[in-house]
Amino acid sequence: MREDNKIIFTGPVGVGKTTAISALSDIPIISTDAQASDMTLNRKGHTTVAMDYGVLKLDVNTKIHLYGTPGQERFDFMWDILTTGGLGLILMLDNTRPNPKKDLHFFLHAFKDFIVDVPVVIGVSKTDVQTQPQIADYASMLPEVTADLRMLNPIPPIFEVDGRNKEDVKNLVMALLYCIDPGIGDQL
Amino acid sequence: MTKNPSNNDSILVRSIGMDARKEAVFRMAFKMFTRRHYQLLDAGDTQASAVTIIDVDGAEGMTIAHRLHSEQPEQRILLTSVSPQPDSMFPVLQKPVRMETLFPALESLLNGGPVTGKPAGRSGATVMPIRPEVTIPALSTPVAPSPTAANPPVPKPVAAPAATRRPAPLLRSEEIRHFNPQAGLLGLLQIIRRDQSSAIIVNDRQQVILRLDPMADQAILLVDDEHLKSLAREEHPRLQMRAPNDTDVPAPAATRHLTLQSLLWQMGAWTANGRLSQQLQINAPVQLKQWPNLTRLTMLPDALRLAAFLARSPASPALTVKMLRVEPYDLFNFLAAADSLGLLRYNTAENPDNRIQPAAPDAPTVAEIPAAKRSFLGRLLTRISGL
Repeated sequence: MREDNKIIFTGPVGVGKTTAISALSDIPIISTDAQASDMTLNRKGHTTVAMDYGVLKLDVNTKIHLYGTPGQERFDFMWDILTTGGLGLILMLDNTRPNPKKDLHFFLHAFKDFIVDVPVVIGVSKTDVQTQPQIADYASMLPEVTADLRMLNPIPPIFEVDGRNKEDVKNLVMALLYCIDPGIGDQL
Repeated sequence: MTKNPSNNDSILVRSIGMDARKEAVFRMAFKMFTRRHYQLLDAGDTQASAVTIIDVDGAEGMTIAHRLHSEQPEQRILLTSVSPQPDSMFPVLQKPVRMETLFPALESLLNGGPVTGKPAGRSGATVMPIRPEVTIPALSTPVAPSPTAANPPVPKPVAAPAATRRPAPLLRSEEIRHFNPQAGLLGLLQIIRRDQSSAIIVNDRQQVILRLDPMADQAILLVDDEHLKSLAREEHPRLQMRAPNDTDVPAPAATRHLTLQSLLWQMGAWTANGRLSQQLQINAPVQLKQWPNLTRLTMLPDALRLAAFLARSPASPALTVKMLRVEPYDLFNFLAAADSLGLLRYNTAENPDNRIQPAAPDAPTVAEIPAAKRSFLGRLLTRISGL
């Protein structure tokens, strides 16, 4: 039984983690919701206060487990339950939030022990609503944000994504897989 | 004595001292655990629980646990705490609670045995790891369940042949053709990108081909792709660049809008047309400064693999062809496209700021991927790309 059959999606509230997992999952995602009695409800009408769970089936015996972390930062105590093993981390950032650099810093540091051993890919959503910062700006932020981190892939992919767009989500995951091994996919 | 629940029963669990969000975590964990069905009772539910999990970090702390124990001595009690007391009379799980320790602790309580890994978590106590049920079948011998009336035979999967890597393309240096990225239409676009000034490009009849605004990352195209492609491949197209004026895009002209980034990327690939930029040498290393934004650019063949490889560490074009078994034609187009966006590092005397950067001395080492894992990743890649 493999320990690394999971991919973790993380990022702030409303960024599109649940939607992204839904684009990949072969089952209706399991999403435990509880009413969030705080300002989070102002950001979106319905917020996930627990983890999302989906499954991607390779065959009868093999599944990839897709976990979405709770979006609110105060739930970071829950994230540790997920970070044993795993293929990699997909960090989704919301370009409309007031301080994306702070978000980038927060989430990479929250998973700092995880990303020593597995790659991270970064998807930036809502760039159609808010064009700044641009992708190049996120890349420029990275050296400062990650100065005290050890990362398996210190130059991670940073893509514009729309969680509702299956092709964008597929490309994020494929980039993650190639970060593990660029040599895959060269079979006949 | 509380009856031990069988494996088929739902095991009712009560929580005390937890708020809704913490209870949500346990509900999710119970859903994910498939060996037994644990169910967290709601606050007002009067059913008898098999186990009570108490968060003792609240104001009442251990008082709650002791009170419950005195009122219901037969109740199985499991505590959670950030700072477990070593002399606790109840088994304690250290926060953050992990699935790997939660379920063994519950199982032990239900079976009436001692709870191992007390306190668990980062203390290093040994516990049985709990993982979702996953197995990787052998490549050539897929296992099928024995057919029964209740379990009718499933179609036998076709035994996959052993994975064969495609042969490395031949790369003869004498056959490599080169192009000058600073010439022609691509050269003009590079100047505009570098200078960050709005400009238009006209042909020898003063017809506007392109209107460009680098600050807004915008390009307006007044010709179709075939025309652009043919211009890209001319070594000396008769084109001029100048500052725009208001009449340069007369309405209602048929125009197309792109980002300047995507235009540069495409023009780089078209201009290369399978040739190696003369800025690069076949055996000298190149490196990506950052990944291209591939979800918003034309997806060139093998672009994801090439980006992953060249972002990881410097490699020469020759080595890249050999290691990744990509066609030189595709590699050279990718390099030209990436360079047109300023994403490549390579050592040249003209641009010392763009030199290859060594890896950080404490960077994690990328381990060799075992064959079984590579096969697994390949299958996952196929599955994802087929969605």
